Amino acid sequence: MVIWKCEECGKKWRYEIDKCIFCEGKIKLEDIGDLKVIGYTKIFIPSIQHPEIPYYSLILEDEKGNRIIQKSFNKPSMGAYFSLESNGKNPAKRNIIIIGTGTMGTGIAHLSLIKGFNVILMGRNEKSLEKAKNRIQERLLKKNTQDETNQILRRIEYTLNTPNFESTDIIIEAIAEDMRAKKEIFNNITRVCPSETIIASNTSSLSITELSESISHPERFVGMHFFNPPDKMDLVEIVKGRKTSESTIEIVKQITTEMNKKPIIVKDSPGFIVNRMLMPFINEAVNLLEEGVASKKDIDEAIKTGLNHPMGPFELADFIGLDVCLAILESISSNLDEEKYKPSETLIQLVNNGHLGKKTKKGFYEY
Amino acid sequence: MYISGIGRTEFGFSKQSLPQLIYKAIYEAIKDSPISIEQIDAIFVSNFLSGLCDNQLHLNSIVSSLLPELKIPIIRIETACSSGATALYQSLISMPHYRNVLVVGVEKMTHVDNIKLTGHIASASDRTLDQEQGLIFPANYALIAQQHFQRYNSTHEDLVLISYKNHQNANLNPLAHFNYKKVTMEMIENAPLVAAPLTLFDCSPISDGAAALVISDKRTSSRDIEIIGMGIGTDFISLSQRKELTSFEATKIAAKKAYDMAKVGPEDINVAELHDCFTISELISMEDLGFCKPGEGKYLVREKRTMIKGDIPINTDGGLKANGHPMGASGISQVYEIVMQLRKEAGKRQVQNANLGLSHSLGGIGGTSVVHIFRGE
Repeated sequence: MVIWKCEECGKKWRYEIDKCIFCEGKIKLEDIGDLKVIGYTKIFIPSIQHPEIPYYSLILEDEKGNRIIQKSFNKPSMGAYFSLESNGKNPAKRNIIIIGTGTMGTGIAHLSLIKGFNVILMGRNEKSLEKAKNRIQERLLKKNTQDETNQILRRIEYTLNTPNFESTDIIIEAIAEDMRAKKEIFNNITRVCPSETIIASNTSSLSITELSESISHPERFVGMHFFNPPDKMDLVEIVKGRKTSESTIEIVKQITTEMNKKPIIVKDSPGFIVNRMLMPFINEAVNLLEEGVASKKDIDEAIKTGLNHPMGPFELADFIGLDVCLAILESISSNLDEEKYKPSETLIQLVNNGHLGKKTKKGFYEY
Repeated sequence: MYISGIGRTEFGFSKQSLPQLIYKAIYEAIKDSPISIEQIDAIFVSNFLSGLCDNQLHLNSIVSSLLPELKIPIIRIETACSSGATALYQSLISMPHYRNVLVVGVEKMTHVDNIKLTGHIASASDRTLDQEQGLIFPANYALIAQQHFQRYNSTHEDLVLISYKNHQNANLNPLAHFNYKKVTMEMIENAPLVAAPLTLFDCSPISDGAAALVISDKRTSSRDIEIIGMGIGTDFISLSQRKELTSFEATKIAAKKAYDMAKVGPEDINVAELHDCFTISELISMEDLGFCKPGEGKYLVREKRTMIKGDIPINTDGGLKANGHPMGASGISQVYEIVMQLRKEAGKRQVQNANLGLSHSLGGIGGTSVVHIFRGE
């Protein structure tokens, strides 16, 4: 929250202005003190910008009477102090380690930062870390001033080396969807981190139970499947492997709500909920195209207008990445061993030719 | 200045288009008045959401199309849910220039998906301070209710009584959205939560409808009702910018101006239409308008003084709660009801000895407030 105040007459604005229109006084930023909950309501009806219910809207106030409206998924208590950064949760700030500097690793790091967590982002090489750093800074600057951004960036550390894991609440792995690479990383970190540190994988297609084989104390291992972009999409699928303990699930659920996300618990099964439904849907769109039933554009248009989806299947596949779609389909089809999940030829060919969607500027469409 | 004609459509679900609804209301008002459509010098049209719901703006020109070859000045007014009352206010301000003006308000929203519509209505709040934090309108009023309960020990049971009264009144109003619906105390008490502590029966419905008034600078018939006071107040848009959370400053400002101009006080009012978009706003508005002291609205409710047979009947048409709330038309349909009452034409819901009437309309969470005072014969 930012408040601009006239140094002369004390009037306040919520919009940045240069000079006071009443007395021409200079404008300065008001210091906001600790905020207390002075009122709240629990909301049970969804709106287009806030489809996930129930949630709370709070009125917070500092000792100078500055007020703010704040959304939260956590039940507030009247009169209690409220931290905007961790949205209700302080006092002990969460420490989170994220491994992977791709779209999801960077996105989860950005989300964790804006929710007030301390973040260590671990990457493979200088170049990818530098890229992640720039992307996070850019995104923060969209909603914050330079000063606020610098303040937030003090809570993130970028590293190539294995960090110190003491006092880490959770490690989230978000590298490429490669069983061997993931297992190798888990193998390495479990050798040096405390046996109770929770380890989560953002995998969208690999088996949590199988991944847990590379982890000592597999009861602290769990799937934590975010959706792209993590700061905008409200869902996190929390995947319970065969050995995942109830207390691990509880803690990860808690961390998810602290991130203002909606946790849905799901058993370890190929594609979990969303991708198990979505990928055959995308694949079927490609089958329709191969059979010449309709054009790409018309299939997209039909789904958007007939089902009210915001994007058609080809647009969505390009957005997700065709390599990701293919990997998930292969994983679902090899695990469930059913013809209906078999990836279509067109999809395989596009991926083989390096046309992976939006990120390579060509997929089903050109960008 | 006088109201010489009134007209309105039924409120509720309508198959008619926006222009059709406008036409119907104008037609009724002109037929009700000795003034003909050719004698109208200007029109003020009020609406809130046709831009978002129908991608239809520039409604003044739409109205022009409904009145071929008239080619008089027409202006659209928008102040969220108080658009209708503000249009009346502006028409009165313009009167030195005209002899007869028409005010028409319209809203059509039942065809829009509720999830979208809730977002559209939230456009009356600050985009960054409120909307992004999920503060939809029921939530705004829920926060106010919580503060009022805490400060004055008013209770949800008081709001239940307001809801029940307004539904009963609507049963007597053939044009009301919920005219057909028999509502029991039990139904209200068991209603699902919308934004705690407010439940479904604390909320006005989504309605289509239109209402119109003919305003004249001279008395045209014995049925004319005189407008003797008017006031408008505006305030910060977001609750986070206000000091006071249990009353609306804008209403107090508007009421003072209207009472001063009319040279009457709240104790002189015989019948009133208050902006009960949520039951809590009827309670708070009674206090802001001076019908009682702050925090004492609950006693007026509990002692049944706001019922049709009470000494200060409120929302005899069913209020926004049960008459319906087609937002651009609501402020005008309130005046329609006051005129019916002061003309002694309100039938089964007629208030005895009604000579002075007041209408009050809110935009947003009291960001705009408009008060008008009327005198019958």
